[in-house]
Amino acid sequence: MSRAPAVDRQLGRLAWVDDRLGRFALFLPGLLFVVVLVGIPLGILLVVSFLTDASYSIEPIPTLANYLGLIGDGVFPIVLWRTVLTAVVVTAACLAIGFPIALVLARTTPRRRALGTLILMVPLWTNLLVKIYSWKAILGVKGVLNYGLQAAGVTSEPVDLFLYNTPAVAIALVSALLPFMVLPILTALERVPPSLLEAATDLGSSPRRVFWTVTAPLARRGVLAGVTFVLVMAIGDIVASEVLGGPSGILVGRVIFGQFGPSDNWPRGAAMGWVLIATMTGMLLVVARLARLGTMERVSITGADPRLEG
Amino acid sequence: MTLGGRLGGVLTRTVALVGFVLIYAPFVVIVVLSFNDSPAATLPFKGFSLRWYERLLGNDAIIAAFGNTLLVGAIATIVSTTLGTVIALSLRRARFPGRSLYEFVLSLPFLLPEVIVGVATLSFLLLAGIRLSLGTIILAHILVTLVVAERTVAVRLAQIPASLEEASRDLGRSPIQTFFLITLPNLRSALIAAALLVFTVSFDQTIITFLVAGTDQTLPTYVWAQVRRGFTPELNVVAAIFLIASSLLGLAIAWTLRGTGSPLKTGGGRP
Amino acid sequence: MTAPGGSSTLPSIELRGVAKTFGDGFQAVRGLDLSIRSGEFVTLLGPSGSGKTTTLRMIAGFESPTRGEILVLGQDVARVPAHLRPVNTVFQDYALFPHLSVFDNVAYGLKAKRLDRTSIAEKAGAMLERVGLAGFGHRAPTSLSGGQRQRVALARALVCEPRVLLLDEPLGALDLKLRKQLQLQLVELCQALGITFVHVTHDQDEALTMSDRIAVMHDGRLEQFAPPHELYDRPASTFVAGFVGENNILRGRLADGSVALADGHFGLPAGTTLRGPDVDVAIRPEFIRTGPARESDAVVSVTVEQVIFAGSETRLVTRLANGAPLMAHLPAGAAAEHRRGEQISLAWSVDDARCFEAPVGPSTSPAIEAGESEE
Repeated sequence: MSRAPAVDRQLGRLAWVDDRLGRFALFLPGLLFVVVLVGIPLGILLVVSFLTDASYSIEPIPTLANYLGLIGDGVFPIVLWRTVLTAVVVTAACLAIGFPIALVLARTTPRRRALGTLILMVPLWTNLLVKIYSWKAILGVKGVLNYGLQAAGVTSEPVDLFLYNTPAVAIALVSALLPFMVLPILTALERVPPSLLEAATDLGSSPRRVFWTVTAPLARRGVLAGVTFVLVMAIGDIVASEVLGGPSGILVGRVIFGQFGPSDNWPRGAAMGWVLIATMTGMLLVVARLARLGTMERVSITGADPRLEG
Repeated sequence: MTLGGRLGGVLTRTVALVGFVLIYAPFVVIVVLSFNDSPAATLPFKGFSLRWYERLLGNDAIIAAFGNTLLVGAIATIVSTTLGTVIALSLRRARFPGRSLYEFVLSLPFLLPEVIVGVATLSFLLLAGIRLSLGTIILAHILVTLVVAERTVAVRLAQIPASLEEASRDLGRSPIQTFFLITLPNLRSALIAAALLVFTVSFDQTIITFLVAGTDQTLPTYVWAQVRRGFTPELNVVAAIFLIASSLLGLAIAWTLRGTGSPLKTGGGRP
Repeated sequence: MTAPGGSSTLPSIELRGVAKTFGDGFQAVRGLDLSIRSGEFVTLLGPSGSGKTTTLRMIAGFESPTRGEILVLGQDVARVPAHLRPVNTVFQDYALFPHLSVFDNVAYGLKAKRLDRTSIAEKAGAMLERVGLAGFGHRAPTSLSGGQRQRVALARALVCEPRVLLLDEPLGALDLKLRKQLQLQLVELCQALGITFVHVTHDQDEALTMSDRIAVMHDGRLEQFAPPHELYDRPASTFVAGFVGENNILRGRLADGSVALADGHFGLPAGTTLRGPDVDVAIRPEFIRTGPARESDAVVSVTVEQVIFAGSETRLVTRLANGAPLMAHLPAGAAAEHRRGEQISLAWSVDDARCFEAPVGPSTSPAIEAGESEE
């Protein structure tokens, strides 16, 4: 009151500047992180993919050979196709098994639902490598499955068909990724107001029609989140392929991984990496497109990861 | 009236049961085998024994790897939770062009295939002339886990009404006092959850760790190296300890998230 | 007015001894008998927890009664699942399907009946027009205002041409002005379509203005089922007297055919027989007078606590010698001279009061118990 308006204005300005500085200072660490540790490394990887590989070193000569070579290569396209197919099959299986789990949990009493959710959440956080390893102990020639089959008299000799192939990789991935499918669907189902189901019944729909016209469409967002996450995890898999795949179960991630030893072809590996990212992005776009068909709800692919999304 | 009525009720339940079996089969098998008194590392079960556990204690490589894992996890947890909180605070109610891009890039290390994050980081480290060590492992783990901490805190932050802090300012507290007196106490459960989550994700890193590690080993890279040779009783024990430990961590996380603004249970939200 | 008009003698809905006990032991409805005529607008009125919504949900088929029979158009519907009953519901939260357009919401029930495409388009379009939402068909329900959503919900139910329309607090979420408007529209629709409307509300004003008959429910029981004016003029119980309209409920004792109340004695209203000894006297504030009393009048002396000017009338908040509150509405001017703390005597004609056996338990005003702070 007693201060001159000019002084007041000055003080206000100072406070404003101070506030802006504070905000910026808060922003800085994150910005630095994004630029230095995410942006630059990915940039390097992009640049490397266009450089020439000389044995034991990388020549700074721009080239498209790393990408073009992948097409001409007899193996890479096959491995990429196998990877896409495996990811799709794993995702479809997770959806086919995960939706019923979510449905059963959504229909049960709150107490059982909480317990079921807990049972699903615990494996979500356990080490992937160890879970995959465990499948080796189940599917191997000396594994638990073979022991069981012999003990039951189904086979007399151990069967070596279970391990070191793509189906083994797929089974282990389904087992490990299933919770990621169930939890977002369950969340979506829990949010369907009971009155909507009653309204559908009231308007003459049989239980089956209620499911297909109301329950399933309203779970769409959860399905999308689950599908996105499982797809991303499956398509980038290295561990399952390495441990359970054998030569016939090689997936792209494992091939890329193999390119980055000290004596290997880094530019080629980088190019493979970007092809993998492009493939993944393309598949996610298709999924998002499918999810948007014929609905009034806007659906976005954010919220993919049930471990992350708020 | 239940969801969808009786739609193939029996079939649905059967499939769900198969799903649960599929999820838990690896857990049960490996834990059972780890107690098996047999050098074959497989069935039949020849009696309950702790001898593989005992032998583990004599394995210096494993003990060292375990120590490294804890150290890396602890430092990554502290740094990621702190930095994640700072980022969450900086993004709170902030509106600027490119915000969604910024958040997208922030989440890339967690969402991209781990081989890509690993090799990108490795290329960067080599180009920058940084020697691979435990330090680079820690850096990589912070990279991957940062967004986990940030999202967990951000979700809770969004639930604290602005009026709470405005009231504090109105009652004469400075922004910094307000943060420590009002904001931080309300974030407590989210910070605990974030720390647990970060530690667990760090605990789970194999490929990235393997790529940026020099000669140091963590438990996952130790297992990774052994697994490719086949399965042994000792490895079963490591795996079992791994599963039990991370299950306990998982339970702790579920417990902390229960009732708070759980990022797991509030997934989705409005588009 | 109760002339049984030829065709509509068959009750549209009949409840016989219907009771509902939930799994946790809560008795929502305890033996309900109700007969609703065809084309009638009936309101189930009661405080929350009185069993009115449970009753509605049993008619719709979302809950099954523990005991008793429910007949719709003379048919026992016990074994008829909800989706096959000739009734439709307007839900409290409207329950519009968020993933479907307004048009598809309205067409939803028609598709369930497997009508052909053209007649679905025709009927749904006509119904949208009828509720004043022509041109809104392609919109998402979430983009509509509360009133518009309510009309979509109404259209969606009516387009199925139900014999009975159930309305579960359909106006509860709307603001007062819109509510008044839609109240009239609903009554007009009921009259125009000749459909039976069963309406649930806890708002007595809404019930009084809309209904042909009102079923007042309390604690899972039917207290009274009567036209609005009868409910108001001749309430059947202390609860109804207190719940419908403003009323003073005074606890008195019956002795020698007259009621002892605070410092006075007076006779029972004509035609009242009570056993006593505790009785409740209900007297509406507008029947209370100041000034000279007749010989037969009930007279009490009270202390004036507040004098409230309310335009056409003046309200006196007073207290009897025994501490019971008594509210009087006097014509404007008649009470102008009264002051706080003043001792005056108030009187009413005995026949304007209603007397009931006092319910067991403490004599709380049911209006307060029901949480109905008026308006």
